[in-house]
Amino acid sequence: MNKLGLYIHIPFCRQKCRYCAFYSSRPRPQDISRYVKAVVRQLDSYDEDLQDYHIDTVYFGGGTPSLLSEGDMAQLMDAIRRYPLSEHAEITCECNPDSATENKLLSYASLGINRISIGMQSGQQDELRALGRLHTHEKTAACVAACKQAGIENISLDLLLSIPHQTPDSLMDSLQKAVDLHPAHLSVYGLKIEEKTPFFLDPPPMPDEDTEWEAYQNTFAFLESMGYNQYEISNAAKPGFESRHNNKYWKRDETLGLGPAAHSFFKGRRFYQEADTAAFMQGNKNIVQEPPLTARDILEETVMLGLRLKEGVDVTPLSPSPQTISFLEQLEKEAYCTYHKGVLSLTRKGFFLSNTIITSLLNLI
Amino acid sequence: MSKQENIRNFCIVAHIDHGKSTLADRLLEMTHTVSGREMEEQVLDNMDLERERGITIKARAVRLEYIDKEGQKYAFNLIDTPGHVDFNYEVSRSLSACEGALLVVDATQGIQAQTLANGYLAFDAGLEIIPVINKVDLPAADVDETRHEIEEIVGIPADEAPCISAKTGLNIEAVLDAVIRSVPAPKGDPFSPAQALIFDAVYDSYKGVIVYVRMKEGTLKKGQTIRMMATGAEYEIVEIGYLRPLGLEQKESLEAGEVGFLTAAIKTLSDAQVGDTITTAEHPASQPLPGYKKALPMVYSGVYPADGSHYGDLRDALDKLILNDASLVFEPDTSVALGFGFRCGYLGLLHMEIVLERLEREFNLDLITTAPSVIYQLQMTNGQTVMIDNPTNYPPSEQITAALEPMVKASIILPTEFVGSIMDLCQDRRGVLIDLKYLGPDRVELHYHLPLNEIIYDFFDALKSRSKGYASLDYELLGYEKSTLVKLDILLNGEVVDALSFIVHAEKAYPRARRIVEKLKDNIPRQLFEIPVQAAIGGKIIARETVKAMRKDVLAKCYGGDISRKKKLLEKQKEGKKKMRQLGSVEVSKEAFMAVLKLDE
Repeated sequence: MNKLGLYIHIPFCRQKCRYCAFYSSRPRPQDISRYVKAVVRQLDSYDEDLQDYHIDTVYFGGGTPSLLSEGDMAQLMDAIRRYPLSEHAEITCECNPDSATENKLLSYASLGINRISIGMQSGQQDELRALGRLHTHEKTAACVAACKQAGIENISLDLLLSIPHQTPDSLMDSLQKAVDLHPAHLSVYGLKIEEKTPFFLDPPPMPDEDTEWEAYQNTFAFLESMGYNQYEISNAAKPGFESRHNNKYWKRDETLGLGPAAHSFFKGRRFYQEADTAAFMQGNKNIVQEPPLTARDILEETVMLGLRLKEGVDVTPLSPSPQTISFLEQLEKEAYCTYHKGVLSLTRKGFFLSNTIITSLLNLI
Repeated sequence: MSKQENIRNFCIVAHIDHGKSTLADRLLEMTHTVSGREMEEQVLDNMDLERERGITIKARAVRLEYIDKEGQKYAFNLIDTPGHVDFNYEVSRSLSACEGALLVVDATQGIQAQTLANGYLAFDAGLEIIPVINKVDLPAADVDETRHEIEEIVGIPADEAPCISAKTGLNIEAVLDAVIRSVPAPKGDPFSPAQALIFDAVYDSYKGVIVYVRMKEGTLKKGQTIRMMATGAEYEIVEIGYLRPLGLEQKESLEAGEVGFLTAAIKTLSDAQVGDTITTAEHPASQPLPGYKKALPMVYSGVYPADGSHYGDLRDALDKLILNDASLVFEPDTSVALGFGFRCGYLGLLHMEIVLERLEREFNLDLITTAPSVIYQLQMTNGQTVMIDNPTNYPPSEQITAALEPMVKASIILPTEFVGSIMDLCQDRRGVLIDLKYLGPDRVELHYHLPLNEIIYDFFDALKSRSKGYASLDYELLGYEKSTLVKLDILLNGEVVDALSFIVHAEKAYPRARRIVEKLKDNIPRQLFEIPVQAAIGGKIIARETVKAMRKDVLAKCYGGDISRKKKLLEKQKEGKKKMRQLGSVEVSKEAFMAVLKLDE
């Protein structure tokens, strides 16, 4: 039986965060329940394709999945359980501290949600406000507590770097606050001004490269000292609590996405749904197939994605030329990577330059 | 066929923008050669580039027919000439085709550097000079002062000079009358052995070279076999006739005194050289007409295709370009950094800019050009004299006894208030003041001896900006003088980048070196490894900067929806990298390269 990760997109938010480029809109009454029905229909349509698969991870992403009511979540989980679901499947739901109430979390837990990812972003009030977030740090802490009350121990917190008003001190304070909540996992992202976001129209001042570098290095060094191992460019976790669903993306395991803007890598093909919630709810199948992957594509994807992970990539099957090996040795000398027994793995310093390293490497191979 | 006594051959000369092309337009209109409706601004400037820059590049000639008040018919052959110092040779050849010259002076500016330079050329060519005072309609026009300047400075009577406005059409008839009255009719016996001066030539893809001729003696007929006196090559005349503004007018022959064209299935411009004499094979003239000389390039630069695979396209483009530009020279050249390309020689900086722009625009080429350089003369320890036009060929200093650089005599005319600033500029460029003359209460003429090397970069721009645009410049080559020259090498990551090397005067070496390494530091993008940038003379480092290693180039999030996008991004990055020039182990974008080579003040 093949393993499959299932991704369900919930494209609804009460308010757009200023930095957010994910596809979402404000739900009108009945929108969410209509939407849930459309998702169920879409899942059903994959009946035949899912014949030899069992689902071992589920991920509710958004938007704000915690806008799903108990009833909505129940419908979705029921539909999912019509397929073989691993006993120890990791089932994650992204939550917002202001919509994930105690009761809701209790219901989610009873429906099988066993991992919650909370958008903490920062522990500083002024920073949260500047980001357009609808909560305070107290609320974040309360949300974490509520998860634990509901029996969910596998909690992940999201944090942002290089946000307006952040200083090295305020960052350290936010990190400490995060760690004090005893999450199992942390994701830390550098702010990127994306097109079509409020920040794009009114860009905040960004720190220089050197400052960003310091922030990144210090963050993950601190987290490591606190027992969180950095296993990917932006992710650190207590041993055994890495995100199994997200690992599928970096290891090129199969995933199926439901809902508008959801992407899939299924039976060797990549495809995605067009980002149009209204059309989706009317039952329009707007699936866009990406061109089939050549052998070269697969090689490049493997390198590109694999180098995001601490465990790195074994480059031996790529038959690296002497020129390539000398390049890797040069990188190693600069402490950008380790290259040992054919396995190339980037260091924290190398992670921060991974785009250039990957392009240079791919031009050589 | 008009009677010889009713022919007038004349040209218009002036300083840039004093209105000679506009005057030419008005003459065309007035002689009803081209109706107002058909008039496109400045018809004679029929290359796009020229129109854009508002300058004339190729000399054009046109025959106009005019009937005066008494009903007498005249044939005017008008030759429009370039006003830029780079093209003096072409101007002088066009002058040889004429008997008269209209010297146009802008009444708001008065005599400028090229008014004088061209005025003297016309004098030397023995032409009758008719001053014309233009732009009298403008509020700043000072006709009396201008008249006075013409008499005092140029040295010709100006009391009868027509006062016109070429733009509004005011008083143009007076110009035509002055031409009739004062320009002598041409002489020459139509029955003597033929002597036709080639004063211009244009390549046409159907007809081959179209040769513009002034018949000095004799007659040329269609079908006759002609001989080029410089090369001895013979051709048969296919077409012959007059040049009209909107095309060629076919005739059976051209007689002494007339101006026109001929075609003879001539394949390349080098077969029809400007200044040469055409005669007939049957009854050849014993002597060619005087004054033919080959134009010498003054400025050189390296021209390379941005993408090495387009070398062939560049070569083809240059081959096509010289069909229409007899003064451009080029030969293959290689650079460790830039690959295969060419070393091109130009008459001057403007010529260079025009050639490069034509290559990029007409032939759609993406080019990298190295900084312009001049030819140096070196006296070697083994007794030989070597001419160096490429810094990479500069021999080690131990082998050189003496180095000489070309000098020019520059004449600068400017308002008095800017004299101090301009003299500072010239001094800064190692200029030596020869004399200073007052041309009027508010104007000064400066003569400086300057190294050609110092004025080929941005001297003209600096001159203009320090004088709010009022200063004008003319220069001529004087010869070679001893100088202390050094070769400055630029090293990236410890390796010499030959494309960036150049020859500089010893006292300028350090400041130049500093400017270049700083410019490189600012323009070379940060890379995976730190890059030392050094300037050296003979192996000794005299300036250095460091390009710090890159710090950030990462995609923080890469989940399901990000993967395809990231692939595209990396693809673009890979393509971008491929386009970078590899200078040793350093990647430099084309823009960075050009920015450094430009070295703007």
